[in-house]
Amino acid sequence: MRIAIASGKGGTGKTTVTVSLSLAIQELTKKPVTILDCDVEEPNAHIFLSLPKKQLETATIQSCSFDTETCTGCGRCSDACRFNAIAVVKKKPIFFSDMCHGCGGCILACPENAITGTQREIGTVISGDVQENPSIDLHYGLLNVGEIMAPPLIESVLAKEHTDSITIIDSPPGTSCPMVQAVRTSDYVILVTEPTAFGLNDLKIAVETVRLLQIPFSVIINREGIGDDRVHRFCQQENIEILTEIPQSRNVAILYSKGQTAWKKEQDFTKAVQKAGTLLVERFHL
Amino acid sequence: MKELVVLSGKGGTGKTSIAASFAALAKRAVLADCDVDAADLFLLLDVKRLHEEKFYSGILPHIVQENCSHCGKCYHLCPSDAITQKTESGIMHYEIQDLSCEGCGICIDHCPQNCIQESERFCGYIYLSQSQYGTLSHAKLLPGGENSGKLVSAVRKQAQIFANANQLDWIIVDGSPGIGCPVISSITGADLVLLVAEPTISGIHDMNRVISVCQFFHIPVLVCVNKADLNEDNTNRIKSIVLERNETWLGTIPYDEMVTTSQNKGVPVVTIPASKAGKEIITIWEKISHI
Amino acid sequence: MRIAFCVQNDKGVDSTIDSRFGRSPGFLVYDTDDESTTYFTNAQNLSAPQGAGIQSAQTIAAQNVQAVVAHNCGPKAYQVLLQAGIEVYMSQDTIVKEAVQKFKNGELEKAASSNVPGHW
Repeated sequence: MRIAIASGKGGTGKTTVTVSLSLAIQELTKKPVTILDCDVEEPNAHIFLSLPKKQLETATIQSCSFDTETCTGCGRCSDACRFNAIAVVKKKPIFFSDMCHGCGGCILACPENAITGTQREIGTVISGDVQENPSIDLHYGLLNVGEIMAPPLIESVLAKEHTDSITIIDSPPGTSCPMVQAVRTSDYVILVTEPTAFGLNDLKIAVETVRLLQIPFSVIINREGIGDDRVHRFCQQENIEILTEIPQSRNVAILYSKGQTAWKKEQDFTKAVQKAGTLLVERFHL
Repeated sequence: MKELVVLSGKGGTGKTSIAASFAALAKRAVLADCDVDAADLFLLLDVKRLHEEKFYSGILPHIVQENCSHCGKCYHLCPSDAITQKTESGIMHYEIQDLSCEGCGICIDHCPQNCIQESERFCGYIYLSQSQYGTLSHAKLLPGGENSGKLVSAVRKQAQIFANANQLDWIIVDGSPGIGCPVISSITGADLVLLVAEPTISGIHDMNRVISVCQFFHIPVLVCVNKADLNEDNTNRIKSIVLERNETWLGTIPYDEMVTTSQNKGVPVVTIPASKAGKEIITIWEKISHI
Repeated sequence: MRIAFCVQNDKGVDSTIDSRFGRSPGFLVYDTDDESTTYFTNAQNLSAPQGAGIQSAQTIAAQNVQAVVAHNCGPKAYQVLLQAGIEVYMSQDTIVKEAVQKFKNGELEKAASSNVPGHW
């Protein structure tokens, strides 16, 4: 079972929900839980869970290297590359590796077999067992600074899933390619939002996206009490389940600021997360 | 003319509320909302749409089913696993999943039947709107849309053209969270970045990564901390990191519920005279306008 | 000598210069020997998801030109033009014939590098 925690807007509490819900589900089921932090641009789950032993793995995407001896400068690679990563002038190729999406179209197109696939580093995948609860393992990606290819790194993080475990994915914010990459193979999505104008606007786009992906979903309202009932009304109109509501609390925010979750520290918070955990465990026989 | 990009690394630190406030404070400015995934700036500015244009980027392949021999070559070659096998009333066919397709064109180039056509990929809309605080260039990316980087460039370009034509003093850009493609597109060639940090461990982690990206592209960074009183130790840590990394420290903004109130009213928080946060945003804008 | 310009339309030497390198609607090649002009479109490049400047540079290089006059040129396009042995001149003129005149008078400065940062 793969559950993705997503949101249109950033900063609504995806990571808070991911971490505390994973702890709740592990406690309820006594089964192993795997957290995959796919927000590779700004991964944060590891701040709230410590990894005493970390394993680091370099993540790469396919890139290419040109054999200038066999290359005849015919330019078919450049024609094939929809990402404009190759120019051929004066019968010689110029390759811009930072533009390459690693699709391998140039390799297939080259009539001389002068292009070979190589690997280009785009980031790191970091893995380990969580100190707070060793039945939980956490894997996160760290995109190299200046790198634009987030989706393949997300794929490398997703590959860390193991079949005997319940998987919780912390998805990147937004609704564009990185979010789709993280969410598309999930069995269920939870959209975290806030009861504010921004929260609602971004929730609407996230709902549209998840509906296009045809994945069942529900909503968690975080920081309930700061705004008004516009998100509730929207969910009612659209027939969207509100899985739980996490009340606004300055204490929760202060704990968060120190890199701690309010799980088992703040009663109202813990109850709200437990409610969501119980619902999920019962519904999906986790 | 100066182009200022408001960034945060982490989402939800108050970028958009601050950008909207700057819009209200700056006299001769054009605004650009480059957070095209979650474009919220217009919600605070009471906008009237002047112009709308469809935005295309890259290609989308399409299988002409009548001509397909079901050889499966595209299915095997697709590097994004975007081609699926479907069986309807006993007949198998191949389908392209638009949301998974990266637009590499391999299926088109290698189809032995030549039956995969390409069309330009419709990704969203780009708008020019009028608000009482100036003109706003913004966009809407379709759900699951690819290439928000190129859309970000288009939004900025539209704002730049408008600013040049009207000889404005400022382009104020609301950036997106993260450090990847859309952020890189919003900062390349800009004059200044204002980083709105949050005094949390995650906020510090994310801020450091954004500073690295800005330094990678040689853009000077100004930093302020929002909700500073939530954790004063962390606020002080941020200040020392900023100075250590040779960037400019601007000051702090207190946590203020009026920020949410103003958001739900649809106005910039600086227009609410009683707002503590609003007062500090005014001070910060004054510092920026004298740089 | 053949000189390429990024243009918005094809009106011979009266064509309007486009400030974009990668996404200008077309290119105009001016031949100093016979003062003729040839236009070719850049339409295939306008919706490129990225790297339009690289493709423009490659398209121009294929036209057997010796110089390019442009408002702006990014680092990747510059690199392609450099390898093609094409000289890059910066000019802010808006009409081709004005820039041609300045070129002939030797008033345009040869660019030693790109003048704008790379962008997506």
